[in-house]
This record gives sequence, C-alpha cells and structure tokens, in this order.
Amino acid sequence: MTTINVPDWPALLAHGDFEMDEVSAIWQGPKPMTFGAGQDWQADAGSWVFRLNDVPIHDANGSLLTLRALRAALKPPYDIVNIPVRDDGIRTPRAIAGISADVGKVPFSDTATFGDGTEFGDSIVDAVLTADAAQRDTLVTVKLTAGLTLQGGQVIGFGAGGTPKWAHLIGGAQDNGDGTFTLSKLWPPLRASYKAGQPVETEHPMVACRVPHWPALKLTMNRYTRVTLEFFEAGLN
Amino acid sequence: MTLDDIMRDVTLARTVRAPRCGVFWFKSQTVRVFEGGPSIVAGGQTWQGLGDLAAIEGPIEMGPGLKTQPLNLSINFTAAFIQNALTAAQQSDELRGRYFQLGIIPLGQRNADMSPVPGKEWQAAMDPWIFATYVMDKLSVEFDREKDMGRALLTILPQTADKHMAPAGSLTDADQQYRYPGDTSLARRSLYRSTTTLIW
Repeated sequence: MTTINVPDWPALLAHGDFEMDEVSAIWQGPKPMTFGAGQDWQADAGSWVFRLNDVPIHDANGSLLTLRALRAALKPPYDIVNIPVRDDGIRTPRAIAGISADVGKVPFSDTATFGDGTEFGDSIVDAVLTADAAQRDTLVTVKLTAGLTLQGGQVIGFGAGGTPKWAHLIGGAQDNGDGTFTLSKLWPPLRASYKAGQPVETEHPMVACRVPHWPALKLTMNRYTRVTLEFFEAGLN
Repeated sequence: MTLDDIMRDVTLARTVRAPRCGVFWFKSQTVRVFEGGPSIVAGGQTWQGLGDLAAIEGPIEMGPGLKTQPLNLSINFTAAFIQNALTAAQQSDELRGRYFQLGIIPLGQRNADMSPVPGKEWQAAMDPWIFATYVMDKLSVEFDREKDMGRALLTILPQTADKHMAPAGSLTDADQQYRYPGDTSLARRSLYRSTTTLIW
C-alpha cells in the first residue's frame, strides 16, 4: 500500500449537528409463501456515513479561509480526511470504583494549577491492546492503563496521526476483573491488523473518510454561511 | 463440486454472507478482488476490496438452457492520467481475451462442530468458491472534466459468447489469410466494403 498523509478535520470547522450512520448493503430475497422471513444476502459488514450539519463558516474567525484551503488541498471523491466521531451522547465514559477519573490531569511542573484549580487535560481513558488483532476481527481485548470503563455502545478508534484512522462501535464489553476488557461484536470489523500494545483511542476516535463534493459557498453579506457535508468511510484500496 | 458442511451452513443461514469475488488474469499480473471491506485473506491469497471504487453489474445466470449474459464491471476513477493508462491497457493485449473468474467467499469461520468462532464473523469461512470463467472483452473509458470523474466499463463475456461463429468466419483479408495463407483476393476489399460484416 502506498503511504499517504491523511490530515485530521480541523477543529475550527466544528459542526452544528452531527449524524452518524451505518450503511450495509443487504439484498432481500423473496418472501416464503408459508411462514417466516425470506433469506437475505449481505456482501460485507458495511461502512460509516457521517453528516456534519450546519458547519458555521465565518470570515472573522478564519474558518472561511480554512475551508477554502481544504477545498484546494483535498479533491473529491478520493482524497481522504479523518473525520471525528463527535457523538458524545452515545459514549459517555462511566467511572470504575477505585479508579479516579482525574487520572491524566497534568499540573505545571511546580505542581501549580491554573487560577481556577484546573490542570492540563490529558486522555481520561488510556487503553492498549493486550493481544495481536487481525484485520476483519470483531473481538479484541484491551487493558485500561488508567481511567474509566468501556461499555457496549461506545466507539473506540485506532490509528496514529497522519495515517488513516478507524473507529469501531462496541457491541459488548466484558470486564475481566484484571483491568482488561473483552470487546466483542465490533462494528465494522477491524480495518487493519494491530500488534499487542497498540494504543486504543477511547475519547476522540476518528474515521478516514472520502471528501465529498464540496458545496458551493453562498456567503451572506460576503461574510458568513453554513454548510452541510456528508462523508463516506474510505476504502483502504 | 459438492457442498461441504461449511458451505451448506453459510448458504442455509437467514442472512447469507458471501461477497462475490473475481480474479483478473491480466497479462502482466493477476488481480484478486472482492466486494467489501479493505481486504480479506482466503485460500492463501489476499483479495483486495472493491469498496466503492467498482461495481459488478449484470445477471449471473448459469445452467443448462440458460443463455449466460455478459457482466459489466464499472470502475470509477478521478484522475485523467488513469484514463490514458486504461486506454493503453485496452489497446494492448493486457486484458482483451484474457480470463476473468467469478466466485464467492463465504464468510464466518466455523469450528469443527459448526459453531461460529467468536470474533471471526467476517473472516473467510473456507477457500473461495470459484464457479464461472469469463473472458474480458471491451473496456470503454469516459471522463467528465466538469465533475473531474471518470468511469471505465469493462465488458466481460461468458466463455461461450462467440462459440456460434467460426474462428475465422468473416469475409475479410485477415480471416482469408488464416484460411488460405498468401491469397490476395480480399486484400483490397476494404476499399469498397459495406458496413455489414459478411460471413464466409
């Protein structure tokens, strides 16, 4: 595979409303005449679709220039960009008894804090794979090195900066009692193979997506507008 | 070919999970593709996922008495230089007349007692089941500069598509040379030929 440098979607272009969807092509066979359901056919697990609705574009804060720069740098439909899964409602971390949720906060080097008592933020949930995982697997075991817990319905991610990143919905999470969790029924199946010790992104998973056809910018007063963008998960080919 | 236990288990399921796969026997290389994810290992080979880049259109009909229809494989591409590469491939003997095999890859690994292996629902259950061989024929390429997108359409014919015609059955100089080497009676026919193909 050729090495490509995949940028992350800039935080400046935050959405007003976020929709995440799963598409999977299923062909329905004919219904039986007597009872029961017909037989279906499915080619593969499917892929992600994201919609960033009403992304505010302003001249004042630089988002207009950022979007125009992206238009120049990323050409639809085969350039890819990592899109954040910003659906906080479905993946609220839950506290584990005995482990502080404050793990990961970092003070200044002289242990001072900011004026309001807060510290530098860091990853709340740190997790790594405990065993090798093959491409297309749907079962992984992760060890939480710090932080909260993992539950079915949350989204975890893989991939490092500058490379395609992949996010997976957790179907089930079993606490093994030794700090490891067995995550089952991952959707979609793993897009790449990973070695044991691979960091697992639990807070800001991203998905490599194809750039859509850029919408025409209709600026109001030549200064601001809102755009809606739809992204499809990129294939790896 | 008999249906083994895994095959029967996959095909009797409520939802059959078995993407179609294809093998292109190009002149310079052999390319294995399947409908779906990034890639899959089946039968000791890695099959590249077509993803949203390409689609196979056309009915797959087989069996005695059925006239097998040609398949169309459409490939979307976005760069104009690919158009040139595809055109070059069409005009060379890279693909025309070479084999394309079609099959399915049943998904979902099973244990010996047919119970599913956890976490391997989307791995290949067995070696790919190749059930038909076609011949790649015509590649047409179009490019829309307005949308900056192109489309390549590869027509893939059944092996028996041209079996109703004799191998050199046209009233042309080339076919005449095949029948009677050195005969020049049709050498100048192109000067006054009609648009209709004349059968010998």
